[in-house]
Amino acid sequence: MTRCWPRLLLACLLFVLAHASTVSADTERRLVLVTDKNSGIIRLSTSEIRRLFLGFPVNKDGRQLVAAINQGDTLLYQVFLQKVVFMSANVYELHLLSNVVQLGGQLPQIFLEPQVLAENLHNRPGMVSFMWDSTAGAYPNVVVIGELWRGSTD
Amino acid sequence: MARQHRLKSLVQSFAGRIILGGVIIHLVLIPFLFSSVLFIVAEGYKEQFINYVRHDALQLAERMEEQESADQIRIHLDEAIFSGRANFAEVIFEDGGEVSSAVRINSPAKFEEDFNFGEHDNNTYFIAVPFSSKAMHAAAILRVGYDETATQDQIHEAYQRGVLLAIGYILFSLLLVAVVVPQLTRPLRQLRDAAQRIANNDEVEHLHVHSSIHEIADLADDLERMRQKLVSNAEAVAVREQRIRAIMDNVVDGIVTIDARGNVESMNHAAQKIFGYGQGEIAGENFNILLNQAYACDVGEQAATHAAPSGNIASITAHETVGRHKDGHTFPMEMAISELSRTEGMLYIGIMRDITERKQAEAELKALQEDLERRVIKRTRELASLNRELEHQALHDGLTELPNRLLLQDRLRQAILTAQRKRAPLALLITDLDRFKEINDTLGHHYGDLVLQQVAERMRGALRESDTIARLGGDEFAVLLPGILNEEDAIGAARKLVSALEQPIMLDEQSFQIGASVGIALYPDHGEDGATLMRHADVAMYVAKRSSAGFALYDAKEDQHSLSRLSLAGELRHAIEFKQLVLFYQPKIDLKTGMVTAVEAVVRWDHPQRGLLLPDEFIPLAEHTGLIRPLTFFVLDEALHQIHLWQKADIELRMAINLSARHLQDEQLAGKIAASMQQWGVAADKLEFEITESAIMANPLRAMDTLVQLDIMGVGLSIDDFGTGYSSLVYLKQLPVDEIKIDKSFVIDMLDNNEDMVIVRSTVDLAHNMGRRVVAEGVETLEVLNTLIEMGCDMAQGYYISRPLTAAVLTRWLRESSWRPKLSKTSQQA
Repeated sequence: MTRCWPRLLLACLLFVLAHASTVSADTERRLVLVTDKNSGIIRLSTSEIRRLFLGFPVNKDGRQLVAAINQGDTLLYQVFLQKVVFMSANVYELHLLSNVVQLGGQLPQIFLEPQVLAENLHNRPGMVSFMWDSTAGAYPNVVVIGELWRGSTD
Repeated sequence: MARQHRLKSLVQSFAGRIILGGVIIHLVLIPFLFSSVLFIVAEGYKEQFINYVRHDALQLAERMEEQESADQIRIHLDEAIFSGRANFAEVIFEDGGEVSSAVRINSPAKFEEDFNFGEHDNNTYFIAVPFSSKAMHAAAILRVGYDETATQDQIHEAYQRGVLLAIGYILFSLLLVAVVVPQLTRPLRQLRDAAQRIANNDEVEHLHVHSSIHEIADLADDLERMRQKLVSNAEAVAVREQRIRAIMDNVVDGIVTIDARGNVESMNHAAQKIFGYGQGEIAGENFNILLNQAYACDVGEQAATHAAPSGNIASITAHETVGRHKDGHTFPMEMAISELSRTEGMLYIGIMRDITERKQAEAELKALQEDLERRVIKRTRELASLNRELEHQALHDGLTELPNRLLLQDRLRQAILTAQRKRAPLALLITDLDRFKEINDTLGHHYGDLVLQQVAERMRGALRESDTIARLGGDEFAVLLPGILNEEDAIGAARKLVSALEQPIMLDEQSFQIGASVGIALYPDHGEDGATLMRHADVAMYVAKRSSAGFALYDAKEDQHSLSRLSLAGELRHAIEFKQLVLFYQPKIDLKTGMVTAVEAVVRWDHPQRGLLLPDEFIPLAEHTGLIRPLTFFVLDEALHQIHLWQKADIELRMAINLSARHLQDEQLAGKIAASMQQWGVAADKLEFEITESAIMANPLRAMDTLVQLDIMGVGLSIDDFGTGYSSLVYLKQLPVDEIKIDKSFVIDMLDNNEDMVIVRSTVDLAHNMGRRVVAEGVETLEVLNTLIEMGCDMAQGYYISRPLTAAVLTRWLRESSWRPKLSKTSQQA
């Protein structure tokens, strides 16, 4: 019986550590709106961006735009929530679901890896997403079509 | 210390473990669960706060867009603060202008935008919202700070409540466990107590433990069955132990159980008796206390040394040692040690037996055995001596000390083998004494034995040392002559024998002439084996008896007669049975009247091949073969029958019948004669018996008895052949005889031989003086008859008067002869 104690304590510690959020201390970062360089999308207004990521249908130059959510970075996602949709994560997801159900369309795809996101952007013209500016520069096919936020994350 | 022990006891108890388990589970799970719940609740609060902040900041920025002047913007900013929604609000324009709220409530001085609740340690959530200001026609940023304290308080309160709730829950749970567990474990404790009582052999009649928990109920049932089984087993074990103890205590041998260290565990009664210790008195002592110090040993080694390879206790060999009694005395002991493997260690079983009595018995037995051996040796020597003596007796004649027939046959066989090897002849002589029978019958066996001894001595003196002289039986001797050269040597030896035995033999100063007949058979001429030589020498001996030389060499021609003699015995038996014997009657006349007064019955054998045989030719054979008795009774029956016939014919004659010596020894003779007389109706005075002197003298006492019986019956008695024997006048005087018959050998030649004349005259005088009638036999001439008349002889018998005649001829002769008896008128007419 006594030999179980360390295991239990270790499990508790791991659980706590797993749920502990860590925030990287980057400085002067830029959250940018990106699409594929061949998509033909040059610029979206703040309203179009917000509507697109809230699940509302957005046509740009006769093309149906598709939102893609980048959850590869916790801070990235929180900046997106705070600067684009102005909601908490749970509320945004409920809201998004509600809008899709009410208005039709489809839920935005969620990506955890920038590489995968970049490939999807390339393969699906009209797909619009967001990522750190520094990350976007790493993918030649990704083009920045707008800045969503700029600031320090200290 | 006591507390620690109680704690340890509690922890190790079932209830303690349940409580401890509950505590551990709650200590681990409850914090985890409550922290998880509180984390979720806190996150909810934060989520809610962030969502509110972002939404409110957006709305505020949207309102800022509508404002047309900086003052209006400021008013809205102040309102935001005064309403308590924010503790900081400002708008910064792109061109560098700034509109700030006049009011700051707990607001930090520096704006640091937050993206997570409590990201910065300033209790304020800063958020920046860009908007386009209509009033300023420029882009602007709304910066708002929301107080995180309220949410933090909510989260803190939630944590406090959660912890209290968790503690309350834990306490309640422990309380519940503390209440329930004793209830739960009560039947287990009861079962434990019962099991302990059972284990302690306390009497437990029945296990009564009630529990709604079926596992415990089942356990109780199982324990009850186990208890019953244990009780049953214990009873069986007790009975078995009692029986084993009874057996152990009743066995003759002492049994001692010894533990692995060699210490005594227990002793049975026999062992206590052997060693003098009481039960348990030496329990724990080394078992060598039971042994003489010099014989002390290691029990394990003993068991290993004497244990059987198969491990079979029954086959363990016992060995002898010396035991020691409690009082110190030692005694011989037989001990066997076996080993028994137990879970608690090896057990040795010593089986011991006091063999003092056995040792004493063995010593006595040994002494007895030695004594017996001495006696056996002595007895063996005696037996050997006796055996030699018996062997001598078996091979020698006791009377003459000469080899007997058996030894003779052996020596004859050896001599024949030697003769075969040397191609040399040998001779076998058989000697028979001529008149020994008369001496033996007349003077008795004692004198006969003396004669035989002297004969043996003479034969030894006449022959060589290397010759074997054997007595075959009676008066018959055999002589084995090995190493002779020819038949002349054998004849010479026979002559020596005959010559030696012709010399008179002196007995009680009286001289007796006996003589001998010797038959000679030669190897290989007359036979190549012992039996043939014996038979041929016997044949030669019979030939010698008829010759005057006294000896005879075997002649094959004579052998035929010998064979016929042997066959004659069988024919005689047949003749008696089938009445081939015929009676002849010789008249006896009264010399005073000249008339026939009696007849003597004389038997003849009408042999189918040989014709009419005289008595001399078969009576000796009948006497020798035992046929004389039936022959005599045949004669008696025929003679009485004839008297009966003559009486019916009015012929009155007395009938004389001869009796042999054997008849005088027959106790039934008188009865048989009486029965025959009665059968034929013959009066006793019509019958008389003639007995020879020698027949009477063979056993005078027995003869006297028989003669007295016959005399009492009234029959007449006559002594036949008087003068040829050696009758004692003393005996003669005592015999109840009526007449004396003078032997014909004296009568026939008495006119030419003065001695015979003297004997006849003397006999007549003697008989008359003794009151006996005198009959003269062998009267063959008138002169003799007249002389006898002159001598005063009473009666005469002989050929001058008449030969023996058949009944028919005699009957006719009686009528026609001058010697005829006085006949009745009826008879004369017939």
